[in-house]
Amino acid sequence: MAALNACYPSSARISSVSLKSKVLQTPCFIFPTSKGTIPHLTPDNINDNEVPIVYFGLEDSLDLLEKSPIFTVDGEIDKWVAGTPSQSILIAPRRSIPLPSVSAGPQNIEILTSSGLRKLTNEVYVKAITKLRPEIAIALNDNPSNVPGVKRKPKMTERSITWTNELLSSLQNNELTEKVKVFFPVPNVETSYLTPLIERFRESDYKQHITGLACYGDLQSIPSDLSIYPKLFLRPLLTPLAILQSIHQGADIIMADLVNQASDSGIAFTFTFPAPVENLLNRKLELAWDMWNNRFATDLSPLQPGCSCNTCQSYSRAYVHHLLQARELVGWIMVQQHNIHVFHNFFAGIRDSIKAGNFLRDTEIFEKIYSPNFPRTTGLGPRKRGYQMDLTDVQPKENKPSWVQLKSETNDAETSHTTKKKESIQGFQESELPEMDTTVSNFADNYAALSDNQSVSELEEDLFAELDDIDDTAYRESRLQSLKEEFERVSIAKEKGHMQYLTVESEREVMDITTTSKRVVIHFFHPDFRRCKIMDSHLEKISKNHWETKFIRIEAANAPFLALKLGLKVLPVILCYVDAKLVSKLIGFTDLGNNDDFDTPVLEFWLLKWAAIEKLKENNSSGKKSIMGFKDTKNESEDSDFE
Amino acid sequence: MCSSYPALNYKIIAKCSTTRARASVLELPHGPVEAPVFMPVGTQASLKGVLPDQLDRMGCQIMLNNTYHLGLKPGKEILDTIGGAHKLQSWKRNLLTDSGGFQMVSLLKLATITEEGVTFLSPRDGTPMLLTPEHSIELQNTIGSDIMMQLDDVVHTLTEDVRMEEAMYRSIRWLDRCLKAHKNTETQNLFCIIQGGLNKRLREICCKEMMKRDTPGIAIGGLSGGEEKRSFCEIVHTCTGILPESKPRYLMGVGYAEDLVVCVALGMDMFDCVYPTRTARFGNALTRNGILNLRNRRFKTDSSPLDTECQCPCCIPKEKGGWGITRAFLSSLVSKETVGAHLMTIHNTQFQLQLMNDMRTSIIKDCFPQFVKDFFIKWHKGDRSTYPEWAVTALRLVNIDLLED
Repeated sequence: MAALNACYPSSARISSVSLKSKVLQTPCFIFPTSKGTIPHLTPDNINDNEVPIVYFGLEDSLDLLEKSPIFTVDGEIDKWVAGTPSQSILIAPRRSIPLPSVSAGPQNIEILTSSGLRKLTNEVYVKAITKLRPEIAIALNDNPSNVPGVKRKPKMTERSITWTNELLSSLQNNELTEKVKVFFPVPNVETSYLTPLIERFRESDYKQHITGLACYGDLQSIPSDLSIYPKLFLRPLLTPLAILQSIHQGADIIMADLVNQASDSGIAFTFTFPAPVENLLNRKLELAWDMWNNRFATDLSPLQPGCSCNTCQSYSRAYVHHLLQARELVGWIMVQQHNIHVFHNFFAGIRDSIKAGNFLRDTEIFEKIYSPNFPRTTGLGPRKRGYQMDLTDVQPKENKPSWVQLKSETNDAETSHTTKKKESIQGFQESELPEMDTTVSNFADNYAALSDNQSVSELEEDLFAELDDIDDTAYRESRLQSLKEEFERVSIAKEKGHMQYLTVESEREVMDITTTSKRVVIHFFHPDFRRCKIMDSHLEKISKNHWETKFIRIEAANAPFLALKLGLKVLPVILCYVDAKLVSKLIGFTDLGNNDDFDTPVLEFWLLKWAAIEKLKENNSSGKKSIMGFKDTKNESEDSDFE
Repeated sequence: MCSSYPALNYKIIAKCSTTRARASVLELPHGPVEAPVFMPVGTQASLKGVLPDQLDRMGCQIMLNNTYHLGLKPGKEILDTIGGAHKLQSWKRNLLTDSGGFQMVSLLKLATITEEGVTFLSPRDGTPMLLTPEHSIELQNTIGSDIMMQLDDVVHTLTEDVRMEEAMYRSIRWLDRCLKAHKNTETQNLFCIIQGGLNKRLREICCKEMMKRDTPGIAIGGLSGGEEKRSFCEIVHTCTGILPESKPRYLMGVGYAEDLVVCVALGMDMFDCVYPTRTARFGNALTRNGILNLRNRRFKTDSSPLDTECQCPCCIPKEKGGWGITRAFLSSLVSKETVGAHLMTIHNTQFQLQLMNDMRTSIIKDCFPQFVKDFFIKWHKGDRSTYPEWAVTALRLVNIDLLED
């Protein structure tokens, strides 16, 4: 790497990173992939120049790769992913914006693969890198998503160093040092904890073989001795301004997470850098357009006039708008293609501006001219991927973080809480009930809620803290075991698409689902019936809280056989299947009080009655009033069990 | 052998000397369509997961849109303002639209059919609405499809004969109303639809009546409802025996590979079906050696392409300029990543187009019977005992004996 041009007093700089077949001019971005794909884009829809390098989180596919010949014989990551041949790949242990990580040890970190939580040891990671041979690898590192304790911080630095050493020596032994460039993972700790690094980087080993730094924490905390290395900044940056600021602080490479998140929301970028010179009369320019907006319904112009991306060259705003409205997959392909193009140009503009020495001034103008945030989307994204999280700036939060309350309770009344727990624990042990105790099941629920919540989690730490207070080691072990098992159940359920309220398209699929998931709730709907929409909104909520049940919807039109067989004439209809048997049928709102304004718990209770859900969930306690008011004697008697 | 209408020139290029199969060209307002042809279904003005320009590059010459869906979204008004569905989706090739009646009936057990049209509850506000042949044609005129379908009275194939006969005669009367309502005869074709269920007598009457109306092309309808395959083939055979040679024949809603091969042999030219693309999204890949369900565990470690003979970019190795997608990689994406659906849809669509193209080539070379035999042996992985009886019987009607060497 060579710093060609710096832009004082800003730390923004032009430099380059040489790879196998290309030279990356920085500042630039790395595109995060999902299971090895750029979301929505098949290789023919990707322009190599615009996405020269992608980020591959090993946890995404590790469990599959391990079994595949690519991993066991000899192969390369290029053979696995659906990239274009000239695209470079960077492998890191975890996803970009990973789900909160939990624990780590001297030999391993914890990752979340498609088959659940597992430990990733450096031995396995190093083997993966040596076999897969990406152009760039970030060494294994311990970067918990919550704020680490004082004891952990020096360990984080230590682990980065040890694990990087192991990786470097393995690459040397396999004569791969030329082929695989290593980025040193700088943990998310204060500068004082990073001083051991300075020593280490004086050694010839590092000077020769470390290509760059992967910065998990603040850029300012990086010791200045190391600033000559290219810095890949791994914190999520969700607005163009945040990107400009991080470049100002010295980031050379950033993660392009905001592109994926905007595209999923149907938000089409319109910003440029430097910003256009316009007299705005105190009005701000929008960074992007929400293509769901009806004003585009008959607009035959391209997304952004003058744009040379494939979408703008071939298709109109009206079409993109229609496709989003119709929830057609192609809509997201088009927005993604456009956004990548705009984003690529944004970085070219940044480099030019730094070269010309105007970066600070241009950033100020950018801030003045554009709105700080993206417009709020009015529509729905594509089907959520399991590990996907909200983009706070683009999408409204879909779920309340239910675990927050629990945590504050723990903090508020720590002592009394713990004693209570101990008592209940004793009771649990003695009676040897086969069921889960409430704490574990609560944690499981909270764990299930995590995937859709971006906020930092201290959930497991809480649990471990709680368990630490218990002397009985055997009990602690069994408790941990049952928690693990429950987490496993959650993971399996999620793998099957639980916690999402999905639309299925065929009766065949319905049949498959009723036989593969223990509890299934099916909504037969008509896309334009108002009452079906009401039902949707309730089921959407319930599905998020009940990971133990699969909630799906099917357009009645797509299920003529079932509709006929079950004599469905009025919609909405809810069917509950337990163990592949139809246990109950709800037609219209008759059983819900024949009222359009019924509360979600009323429906939830109806589902509980038929065992279509396991239990009422805590965070719905606010709705208990309406349950109490429910005029069904059967319900009332059951109700008391759950008070 | 040819026929000529303002918006359609139809030419037969070659005829199989053994079966009724033919290779032909339909010259339509948006370019030629080489038949036998499979038409991918872009229900809402988009083939799910594939951009129009990708579909164009695959060599697709005609795509189907659903009138019912376009009528709801984006709606007639917007289509009028934009200037039709071609313009909306920037699609330079041909479009075919159905009448909207099928969706109405299949969707709504609640629909009632009267002489005037189909009465149904509006999906918007639940009020009763009426779809008449005139409405359907008006909407299809707005969409601007190259081939429009008449509104027909669709009843399930297993309906008793009295209702079936009524539906058949009503479909004829509705064709007359459609023809009268059709405003763009210079740029759009209206095809009639033969009805009559599994009753040969009704089908014969219908064929003859419809032929009198002299539409540019003829469709056979009401045959994709899961009826017995054997009688299905007999009906197709009966119809192709009566219909004029010089007009394109469209078999609605049929798209399984075996059905396509048999029905081409029986003399059909055009097909459509959501199956190949829908099943792709569920993780089923069509290959010359049968169907692979990629959700199956065994594919998780399988690093071969879906189909080594396939010419789609997914199956061509990276060294040869393709994408070199492995079964293992696809199985990790299926029903998890949209790209998984896209890749599978590209593969399956290419499979369908290639299958039709291969049939066409073999008809032109006059080796179609051999093609049929080769196809079946591969599809059944060399095991003749698994050949479906209906296919063997149907192919005997056109002088192919699958079981003989």
